[in-house]
Amino acid sequence: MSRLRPIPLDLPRKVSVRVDGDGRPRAVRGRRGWVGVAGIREDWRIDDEWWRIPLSRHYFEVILEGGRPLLLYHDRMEGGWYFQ
Amino acid sequence: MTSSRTSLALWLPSFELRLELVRTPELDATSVALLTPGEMGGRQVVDQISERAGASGVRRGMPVSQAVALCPGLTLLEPDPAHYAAAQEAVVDALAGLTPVVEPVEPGLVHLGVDGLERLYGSPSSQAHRALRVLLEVLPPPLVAAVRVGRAPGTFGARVAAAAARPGSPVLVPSEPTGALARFLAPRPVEILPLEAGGLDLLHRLGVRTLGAVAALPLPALMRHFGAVGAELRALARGERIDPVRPLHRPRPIRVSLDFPSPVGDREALHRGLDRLLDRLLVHPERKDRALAGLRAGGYLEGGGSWEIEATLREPRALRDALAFPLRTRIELRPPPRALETLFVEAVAFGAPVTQTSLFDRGEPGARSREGRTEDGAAPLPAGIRDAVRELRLRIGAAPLYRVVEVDPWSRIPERRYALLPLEG
Repeated sequence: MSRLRPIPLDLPRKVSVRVDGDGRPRAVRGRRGWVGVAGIREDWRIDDEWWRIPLSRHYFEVILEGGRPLLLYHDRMEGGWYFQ
Repeated sequence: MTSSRTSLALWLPSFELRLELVRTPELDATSVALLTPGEMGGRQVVDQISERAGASGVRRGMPVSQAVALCPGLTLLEPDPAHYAAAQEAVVDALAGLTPVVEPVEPGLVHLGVDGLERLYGSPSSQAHRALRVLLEVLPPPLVAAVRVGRAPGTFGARVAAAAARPGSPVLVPSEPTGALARFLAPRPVEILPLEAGGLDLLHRLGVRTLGAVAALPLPALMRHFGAVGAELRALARGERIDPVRPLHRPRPIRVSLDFPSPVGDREALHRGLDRLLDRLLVHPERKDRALAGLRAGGYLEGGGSWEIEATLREPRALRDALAFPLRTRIELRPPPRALETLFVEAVAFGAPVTQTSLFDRGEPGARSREGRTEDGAAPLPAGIRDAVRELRLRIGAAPLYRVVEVDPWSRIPERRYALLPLEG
């Protein structure tokens, strides 16, 4: 029997984000250019696995102009922005 | 016709209370309050009130003790859900003869899709009067005389029009010219918006009282306060969001009932009766192998009246114990107020036939597996899927078929919660 390798779902994908003075997302770059963030519903931090490969993310559940919801996070270890 | 842009809304406020007053006319001259169904541990409160009770200061949501203190002569009525459901059903059936697009929203509120009905029934005003005449076939004249009628593009506009109408004088909002709906909506109060009390409080605190004021708010400000709902509210208030009337595709419920030789109030006997009825429901020929997704149980009470509970299953099931559990829980929360003479169970929503759901069955006979989960990827697949995997492999060299498996569903890190596992033939 061959070994089955699971494929993770919801892997983070890199995205360009413009932030305000407080480091909160202001606009997100989509396929058709920049889209403004109309509001931030919620934000939270995850700091985990300090004993292995430390992981530190600041998540933002945002609503884009036009009403589309998006889950973004700022990777506090390497500085990049991702969406999931 | 699958949907209709133009809606004719028929609204009978306090539908349930009015049905009670028709059933017991001598109550009409008194102060009456219909109570909410009682929940174990929760207080019963006032749901609907007669005009006289309202004049005494009784309000919706008020505890019974407060209502009686304000109005000592108040008659309190226990709800009779089976009676109200039968009346609503009769209304929907009668209106279905007028148009195939009938959408019941709540007791006493029905939307009719009226696109293209001019040739059959004439002008919008004639259509409204025709609908009222149809109601006379199933409701007593005093009830039909109290119905408010509104016609507008979209269900929200028609609902607002019906709320603005007076009995006997329909409010008809034309589809043309553009902007007619927005102009009609602008002076209406914000209370008509589909918002919880907290949302309305917020609008009041912001000094926003009318739909026109909501329409004038900048979108980012609304979304900051209400999230994605803010955009919907604005579109509704501006008359830009037109939700069509959609016909209700209800499967025919399957009903089984049991008459007790003597009224039953004992919880154990009730549970045994429930089990017997579920057994009968599961072997009912009309079930046609479908799993059950929604159940209603109820009964007729000793001395009159009825009692009802509903349970929606997280996933469709076809096992008696799995079906009984949510019903028993609901019974614990809201037990019948008196002994039952008759107990019934209805299957009201269905899942796919069990032969279909068992594609991912892992040994639980007659029902789908728990969450479709398998311990390992090598669990045996049903023959149909196995053959499909083999055939795909032969034809294209690989089988791009996967199942979703839980890895760590409660992980705070989204990518660790679920994964795809290739299906092996």
